[in-house]
Amino acid sequence: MTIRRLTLTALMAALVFVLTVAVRLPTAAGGYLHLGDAAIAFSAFAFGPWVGGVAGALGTGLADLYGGYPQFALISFLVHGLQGWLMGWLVQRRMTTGIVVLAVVCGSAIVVAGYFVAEIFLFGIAAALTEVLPNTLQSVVGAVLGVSLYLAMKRAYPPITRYHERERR
Amino acid sequence: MNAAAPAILAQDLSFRYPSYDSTATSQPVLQHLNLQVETGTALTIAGSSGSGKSTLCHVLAGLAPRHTDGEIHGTLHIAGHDLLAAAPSPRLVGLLFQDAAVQLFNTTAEDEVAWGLEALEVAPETIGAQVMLALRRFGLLDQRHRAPWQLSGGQQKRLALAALWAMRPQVLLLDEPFQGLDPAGQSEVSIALELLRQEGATLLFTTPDFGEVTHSQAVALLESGILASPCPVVDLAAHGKRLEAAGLICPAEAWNQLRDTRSVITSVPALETRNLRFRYPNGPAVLHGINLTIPRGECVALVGTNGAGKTTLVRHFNGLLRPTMGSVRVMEQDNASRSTGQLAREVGFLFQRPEQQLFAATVREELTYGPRRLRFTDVDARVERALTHFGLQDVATSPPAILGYGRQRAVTLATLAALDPPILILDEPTAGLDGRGRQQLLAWLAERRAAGTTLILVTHEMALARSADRVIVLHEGRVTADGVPAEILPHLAWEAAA
Amino acid sequence: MSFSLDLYVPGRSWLHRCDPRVKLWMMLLGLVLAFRWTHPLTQAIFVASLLLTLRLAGVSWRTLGWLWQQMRLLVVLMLLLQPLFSPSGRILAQVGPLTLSLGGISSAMLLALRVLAMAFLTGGLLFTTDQRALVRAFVRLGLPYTWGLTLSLTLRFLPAIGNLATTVREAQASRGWVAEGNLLRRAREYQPVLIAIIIGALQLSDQLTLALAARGLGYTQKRTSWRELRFRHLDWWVLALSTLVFAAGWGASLVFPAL
Repeated sequence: MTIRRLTLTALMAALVFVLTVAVRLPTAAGGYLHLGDAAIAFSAFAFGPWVGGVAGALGTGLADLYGGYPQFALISFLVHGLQGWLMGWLVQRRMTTGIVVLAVVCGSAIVVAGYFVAEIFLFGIAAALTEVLPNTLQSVVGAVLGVSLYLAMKRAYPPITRYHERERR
Repeated sequence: MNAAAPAILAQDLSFRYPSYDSTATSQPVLQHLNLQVETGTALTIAGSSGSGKSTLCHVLAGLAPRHTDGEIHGTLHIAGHDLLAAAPSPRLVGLLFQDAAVQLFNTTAEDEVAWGLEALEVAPETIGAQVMLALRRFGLLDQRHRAPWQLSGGQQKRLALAALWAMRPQVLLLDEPFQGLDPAGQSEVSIALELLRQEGATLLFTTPDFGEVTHSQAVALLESGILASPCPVVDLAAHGKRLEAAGLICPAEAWNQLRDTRSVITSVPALETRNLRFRYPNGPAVLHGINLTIPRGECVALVGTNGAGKTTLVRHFNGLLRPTMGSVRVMEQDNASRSTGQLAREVGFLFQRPEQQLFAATVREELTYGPRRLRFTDVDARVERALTHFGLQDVATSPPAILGYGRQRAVTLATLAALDPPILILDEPTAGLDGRGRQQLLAWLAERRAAGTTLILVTHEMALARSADRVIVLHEGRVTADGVPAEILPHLAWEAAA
Repeated sequence: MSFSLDLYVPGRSWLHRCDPRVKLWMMLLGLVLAFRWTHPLTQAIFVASLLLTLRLAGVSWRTLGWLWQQMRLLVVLMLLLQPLFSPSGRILAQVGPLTLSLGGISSAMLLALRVLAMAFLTGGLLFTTDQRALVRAFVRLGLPYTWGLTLSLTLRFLPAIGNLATTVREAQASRGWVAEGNLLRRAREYQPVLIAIIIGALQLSDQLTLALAARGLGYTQKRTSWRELRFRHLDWWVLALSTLVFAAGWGASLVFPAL
């Protein structure tokens, strides 16, 4: 691992953390949407599967630990880690609209399914069911925001393409 | 290796960063540079923003292109070691970064110093003594358990120095060591560096401000990546025009122009505070009842030591802070019911390090953002006027984030110019600016002053305070003096010296 | 925006002085027990004893109150919803499709208490362990140093990003930025702020890369450690005792499956 990859990963993990705990948009249901998924999608699109995966895992895991939801920490670590890695892996070679949509769908599916299974085990089916809709909404909206953020970043700061794990067409 | 080898020997050294755009080749940052520094001497490299000073430091420390990408040509030897062939040991060359805070990454000061020694595989039993020695050497022994980010700017620089010095590098590179420090911090660091110099360390300084060249006898000018051969400081000091051309000092005319511009002061108040008190939640009280009336068109300098409450006070003017008690009125309307976004119509605010706020895909979009948000009807005319005024037409379609430092500062001024608010607040506007940047700022301030804009300048710089109509001195959250510069400033200088 | 991240509250109690590796081990054992026991009463006793242990380790009511504040919404929600969704055993009341049953109440209490147990277990570790020591423990347990450093740097970046976010948000607000309107609109409004933060953050990480390299990261293959973790008598005692308690708890659940 180069030093650059190391600091970039740590930085993105911190960004995921910050967006997970800091930007909370209240929903009508009384819960909140966090933007952690946007940061994960962004890291995965901009920097590739490993940065995206580790940032997603560390960022959300630590956010749960330190933000007062320790019971979610391990789930978040695994689920968001996988989410970031998969999204990054899907788009690392080419970024056509089809692949981007696929990445958004797959990433969101992992989050929703992962939390659902883990929550059945942890809290029972009732709590797990109530979480499906908010989780879907959050991860899809998050991923879409993350992609649009990446596209906007590419225009505002073209050198960002140099930070990716590999050359991309 | 070779005792007789010079500390730094660079021959025909050129460096360029990679181009992010495959169609264009990037401009070289350093061009055919020759440099020789003997062991035990100190040299200053003076260059304006964007002249390549930081890049030169990174190259000399063996960091570029190794950790940044880029292309390098020529030869570079530090104390006889070929730097382009193998990464240098931290015992060979150390670099104090421009922004001290970024190079501190441990949770306590003592761990910060220990970290490098651990990386060098120093035996654990001996690390403790070396850490304490380094901390004592830079006067930080009593701060050893504190987190680096809790330290003041001057302390952070000294801690970074201690962490370098603990590894005993043969050559110490100091990239703008006084950048971003208040006067107290500057003198702290200055004393530490003077000691190092007297001990016979090999030092290489960089500076954007010719006035700072005090720790070395020799100075070399760096202009657009081309390094002139070193000459004694006194020789160069006499050549004012040469230094102005290199962007290292601000021409006296620029200062005179601002000072001699007559303000258009009316009797209508622009800003009023009544018994303004402020305390941070769960924190100490910062402002203890401020009563001020600033008429439209006046140019006011707000001065005082660090922690006097200057920034806290001006942040009330555009609603970033809300009074704990008392009231703030802007353009004869109470601030209480207006958000910062709404107040932007009336109050423009230039922050410290304003280049951090740049986000748009093009300079033109960047300038359009504010006027459009405030729903001005003549957005395009405002933007074009600002672009022209700051000579930014040629980069209007470039992303502001990739421009050089000087251009970025121009963009941040232009964003304010496009809004053209009746009140402008500038927080330490000259900090970090080279001569050319100052010249640009002063010219714009003079123009705004003549146009009747109310100007509030928060500043440590006495020359700027002298140019104002009125100086307000803040001390520990109270106004201790308020009057014309000629009456206030001499007294202030006396106070600072005592 | 500020993040009071370090949950660590300095102290000199036995738990504070324990090697972090022992605390990790204890946490692991505790989690296994929390899932092993399936009776709400057993779980309640477990939670109570964890609370007692934390108090004995000098964790203040204030810290515990903070933890409860973070947890209470989830706990209340689980107590309210769970009985309605998974009825079993004797039925107490029935209103339309909703059924309140004894079995439902019992399982709701078990799950809520289990969540509390998990919170106390992680709290026991984080409240009494310095971040540095925790990272060092992971490295000693076999995590490569660069991974440990990644973890430390993540924590290091948090306040920096928080500051950057505050600075940028204030600067944008001063240029007329207002977050208002519906959700999507707001999300779009955040874009300029986010972009400026990320650009600043990337430049920060570039600088830190150079700083780490300049201070010798990667110059040698190995590192020494100034303050190495060492097992002391206390650690062996706590390790033995906690393992013994765990074995007893597990054994009890074998003999009495109802626990």
